Amino acid sequence: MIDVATLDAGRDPEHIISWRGRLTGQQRTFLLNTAEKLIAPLRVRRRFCRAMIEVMENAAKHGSHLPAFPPAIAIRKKHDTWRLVAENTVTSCCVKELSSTLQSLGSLDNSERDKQYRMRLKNAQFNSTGGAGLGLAYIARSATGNIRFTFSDLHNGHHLFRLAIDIV
Amino acid sequence: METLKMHGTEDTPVITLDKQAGIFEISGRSLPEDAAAWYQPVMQWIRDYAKSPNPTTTVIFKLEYFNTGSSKAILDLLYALAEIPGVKIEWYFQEEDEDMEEAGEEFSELVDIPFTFIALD
Repeated sequence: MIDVATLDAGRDPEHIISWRGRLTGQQRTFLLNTAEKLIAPLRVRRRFCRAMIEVMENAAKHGSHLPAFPPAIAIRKKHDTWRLVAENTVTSCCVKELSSTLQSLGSLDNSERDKQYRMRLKNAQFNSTGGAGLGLAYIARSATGNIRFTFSDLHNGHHLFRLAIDIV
Repeated sequence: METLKMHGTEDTPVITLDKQAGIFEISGRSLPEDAAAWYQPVMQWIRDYAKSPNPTTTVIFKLEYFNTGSSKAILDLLYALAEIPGVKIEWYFQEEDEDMEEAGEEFSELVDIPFTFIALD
């Protein structure tokens, strides 16, 4: 199961879904459909699933795909809070930029995150993978509170990236 | 002008662009991995339609989920539609789905096209 001890410190949420394995389009659709069936009410379900779509796409498109560390997704629930936790490897050269982007988004309040996303959408260009580079900004605006994240050096040119968001 | 009909899957939308019948609709989930490539024929159809459009064009969006790549693609479609006289958008969303309503509002602020927002029960 996914190791998210550092992201879950002090909490004991109910485990809803744990997935570790490749995140092909088919598998992402399966996880999305599963989450759709489990999460209520609709407002939270849709917000959570949209953030999950971006988290899974980021892992699939930008992960470094080390066979020993397949991506992982977990959904947890405590009271009215739904938590999405994800883990995937990234090449170590991405860590500084990714960390900086996440810290920058984390420093914004909700209204500033909305503005940030709108500005990025307005100026977005398609990249080589057919995405628009908007995923992290979208995840940040969906989250209740901050995106929590850690990087663990695997000492082989890759880091293990763990991310957690709560949605209420 | 030929109708563009894309049948949709679990993660791509149903698209009907039919000039003769006056039906212009995008519905379902839009989660293509490569949104730029997936929406290219839609964009091309709109560019062709813009050369000889109907007097009025109402484009219906009834989306459940779209990824951020699709957001960019939809915005590009809206920019292209904004060049066509008499275009209106009908943006449908589930009543409780405030994020989908807000997404429509964001698009409406970025393009010069009248939007009507319609909540579904």
